[in-house]
Amino acid sequence: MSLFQAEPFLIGLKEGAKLSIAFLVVRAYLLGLKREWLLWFSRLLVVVLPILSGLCLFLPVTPKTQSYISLSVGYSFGLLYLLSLGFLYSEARGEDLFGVLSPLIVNRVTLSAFMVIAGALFVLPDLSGSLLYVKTQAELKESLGPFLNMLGAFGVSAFSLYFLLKNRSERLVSLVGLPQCLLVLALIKLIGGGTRGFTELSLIPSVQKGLMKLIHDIVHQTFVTLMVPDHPILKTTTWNFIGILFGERVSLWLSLFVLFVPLFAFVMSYLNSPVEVPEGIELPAQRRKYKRQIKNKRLLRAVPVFLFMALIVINWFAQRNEEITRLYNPEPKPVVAEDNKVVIPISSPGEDLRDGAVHKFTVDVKGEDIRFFIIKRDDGSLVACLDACEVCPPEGYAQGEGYLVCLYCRTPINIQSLGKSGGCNPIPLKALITDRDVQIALGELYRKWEFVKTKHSKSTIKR
Amino acid sequence: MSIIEVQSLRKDYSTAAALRGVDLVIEKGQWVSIIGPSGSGKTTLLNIIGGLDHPTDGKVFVKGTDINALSEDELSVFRRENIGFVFQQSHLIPYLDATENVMLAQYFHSLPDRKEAEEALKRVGLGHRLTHRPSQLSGGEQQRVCIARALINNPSILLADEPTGNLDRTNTRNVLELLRRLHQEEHFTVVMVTHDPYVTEWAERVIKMEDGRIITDESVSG
Amino acid sequence: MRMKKGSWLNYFVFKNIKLRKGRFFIAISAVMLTVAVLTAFVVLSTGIREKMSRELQSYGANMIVTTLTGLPLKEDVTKRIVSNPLVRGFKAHIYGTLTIRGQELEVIGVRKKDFKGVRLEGSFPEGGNQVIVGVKLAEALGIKKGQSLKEEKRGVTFRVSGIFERGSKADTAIVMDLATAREFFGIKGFSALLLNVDTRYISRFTSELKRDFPSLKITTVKQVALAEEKLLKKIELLMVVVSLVVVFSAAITMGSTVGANIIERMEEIGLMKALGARASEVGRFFLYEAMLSGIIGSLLGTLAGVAIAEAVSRTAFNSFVGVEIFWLPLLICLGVVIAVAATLLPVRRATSMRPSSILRGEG
Ligand SMILES: Nc1ncnc2c1ncn2[C@@H]1O[C@H](COP(=O)(O)OP(=O)(O)O)[C@@H](O)[C@H]1O
Ligand SMILES: [Mg+2]
Repeated sequence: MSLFQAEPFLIGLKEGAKLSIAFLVVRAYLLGLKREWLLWFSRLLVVVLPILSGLCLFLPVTPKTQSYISLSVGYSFGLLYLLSLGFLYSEARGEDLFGVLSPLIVNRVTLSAFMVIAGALFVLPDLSGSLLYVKTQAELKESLGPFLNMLGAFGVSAFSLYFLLKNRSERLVSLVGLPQCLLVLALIKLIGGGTRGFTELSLIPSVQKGLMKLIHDIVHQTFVTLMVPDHPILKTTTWNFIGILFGERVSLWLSLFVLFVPLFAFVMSYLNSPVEVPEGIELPAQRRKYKRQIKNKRLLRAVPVFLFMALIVINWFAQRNEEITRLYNPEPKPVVAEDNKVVIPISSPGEDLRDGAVHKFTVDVKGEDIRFFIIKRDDGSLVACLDACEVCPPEGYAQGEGYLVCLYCRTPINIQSLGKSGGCNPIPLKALITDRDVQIALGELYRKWEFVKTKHSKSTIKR
Repeated sequence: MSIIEVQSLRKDYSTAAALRGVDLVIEKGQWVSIIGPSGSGKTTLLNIIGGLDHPTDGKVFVKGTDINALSEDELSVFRRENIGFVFQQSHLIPYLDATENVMLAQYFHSLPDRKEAEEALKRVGLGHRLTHRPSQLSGGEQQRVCIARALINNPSILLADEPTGNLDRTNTRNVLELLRRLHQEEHFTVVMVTHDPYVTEWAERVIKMEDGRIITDESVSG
Repeated sequence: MRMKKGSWLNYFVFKNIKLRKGRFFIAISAVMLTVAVLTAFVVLSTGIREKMSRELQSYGANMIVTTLTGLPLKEDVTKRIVSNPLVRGFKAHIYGTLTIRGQELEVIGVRKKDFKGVRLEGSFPEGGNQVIVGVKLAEALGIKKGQSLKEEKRGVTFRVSGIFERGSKADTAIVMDLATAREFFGIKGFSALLLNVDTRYISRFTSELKRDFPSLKITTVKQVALAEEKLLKKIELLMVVVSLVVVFSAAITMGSTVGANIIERMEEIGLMKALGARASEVGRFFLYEAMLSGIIGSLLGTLAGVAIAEAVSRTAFNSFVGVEIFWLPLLICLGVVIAVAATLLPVRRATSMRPSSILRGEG
């Protein structure tokens, strides 16, 4: 085994670069503030926070922790972004949020608390995510090599970037106020985001997924509640139109809208808000000149915002091309029941239930073709469901990127949430899952399928 | 207090020397006329004072700044903030109306402000010609637009190169009366080049040039 | 009419464009021509590529595994290969020949579920002694659905249960069910495995296979595609040369148009500088105008280019090509960049001139 391992090394480089660039920006801001002690405090933080994030190594590496970490990466980005928006707006309105609050609460304690929070939001999730990922590699290889690679690269990139850019960053002083500073932090998270490699730009998809769920919950649930008992009037074609609303496309555009519009609104109101000329300036030309200067300054300060907007669009554009995934809808494989149950081996030539794809089966019970599927959830466990839900005619589900989608009403269902019953969820099946196979009783299949066929009511089936 | 100071200024062209050592000090708020026959170097001197041209030798201080030391862009900024020009040919943009021509000067200085531009045109007596194109204005009116444009940014120096060269007597008088009024209100410094002795009657000080040199320099009282 | 603060630049430029419509039109045309040619080029070449890869994907596989000896692959070897997690899907084939009407005809034994993406008139052979025949072969031999075929070597009769058309080489073959073929040819394993391997790891997978099973012959579909790729490269080279010439001539047209424009407006430039405009602030007007002509020209150009590409594709390939939307913004940017770059030089020269030499009249 070679000493050099590319992946941990690159991760280390990335994290080091993120940290040192972020620190340089913060430093530029604090230099502009001219509060020496805050600068010292930030230096302290930049040492302490990475060490703190090392604590995550005591966590067990399970899909669950990993998904929590990547969630917290997303949320911390969101918080930084929202914070910077708040400050941007107060700047656009010509006031300083701290300035407004200052007589009451801005003192050394609150300022340092603010810095700790912002710093923690920036450093902890990303770094612990990367560390955990490297930990899985280290466990796999049963050596400390990956850690050493990462640490080395981290140190090299952090220090070299810091000393390379240190002097240049001092020119930024007039450019970054607090909102710009926070926005740049969010920007760095966005570019270097994700818990793994360089390519994982996780912002747009996560916003997109959230939006997809939100619209679906609002639109679809309203319909379902209004239409008692089921979908008697709305046919597949109609649903296909309504379903467009909670498809990938709409949420993709919406995610652009949600991220882009607040910034755009800020820039517009910031650049167009009238300039108050102070009393002492009398000559009209001097007044105009003053206005021009203020506007130039505003334009300069809007530069990070423009950058961020451009990045969102680029990120979105890159994502847009990837996301045109076709739905995967395999033919159900016929299986035969023995001893009143179906037994499906977890691994057979050409087929492995744990490969992440949806595996559909059909079984003949009393002349009835009952369809069901088995799929691996994100946490690694297998789940078996009928290929139908309680609400729609049983047209079945197809698989998209990270979700199943009902072919009747186009509702996306998060794969991790499979196994929940009710509403648009595919009806979960009680199954005995062993190391080698998945066993489902015919009675279970038949009883639940009968319900799908007849649809007595929308109340949930007894499990 | 001197606002313009010229020291042993020379300007050589490939064919001949246009200025052969000019020394000149102009006080703040003065109205100075430079008179001389054609080809005596008046325009060259004015252009160098206004930073439109560079001397071969010598120094020019305007408001204490050595303008030869400024870069081309710094000179532009210096001009927009301190100097207004009026030329013999009016040099108005043909497809913009009177107000817009004035606003162009505002734009390069800072921000265009239509109301202020219209006020300025009213002050030079063109309240009824605000939206006329240059081609729809008489020579005297065009020159008054130029004066409004030159003064819109409150410059401390007005440089005028034969502003009445293309005008008849009545129009010349009107323009000069107008300038005198504005000069009295705003106290800017005027340096006006002419070859017409009639125009020098408005000046407080008359400088005669010939062959690239100053030959007389006399103050006129009252 | 009250002027808003920011729109002066707009206003000024538009007034000027109105005055010089002809010039503006020439500039737009130059950009449009360039962008149209580039768009047509990109659309055609990506379209051809797309077509080719779709053709290859109709194999459903990107790797074909057979044995170096020509013997069938053993069942347990097959199992081990396909249980590798990098294998996303596979088809197993059996190859053989039938002697019919004195000719040796190629036979492919395949499972029903693997026989997809094919137009089939009739039904897939179920049970013994049924075959389906490729449309070209059927035409050549005059075989119809429902007919019987006598295999002359072994004296077995097959019923033709359908005619299939795939639009590829396989149309000259006979297809039977895998189980039937096994029985008929007495083969235990498979003749060939068609694998769909995760493309990112294809080389790693190949070397692993070679290490574990040295007797296997592994062909990646990439190799199959190489010949077509070479031809495509040649076409692309030609297109690149053509578009370079077009870009160059457009830049020259653009530059000379702007140059003439500038000479006409020399007095304005001098005046602006006298009023205190920096060189960059004067240049802004011209660049803005160039950008406008760039944007309009590029928009029209992409439309025209797509139209050209579709026309060419219709006449040459008898089909429409898909347009990869992703390219269009890039092409539009390119058009704008060309327009602006061509303007930059003459504007630089004009704006760095001394105002005195421009403004000095006869006085
Ligand atoms: N660009 C030039 N190239 C060569 N000679 C010039 C140039 N500009 C002015 N001159 C010469 O410089 C002398 C002074 O010109 P000028 O300052 O325009 O005189 P005035 O304005 O007093 O008529 C003249 O002899 C003129 O021919
Ligand atoms: Mg002259």
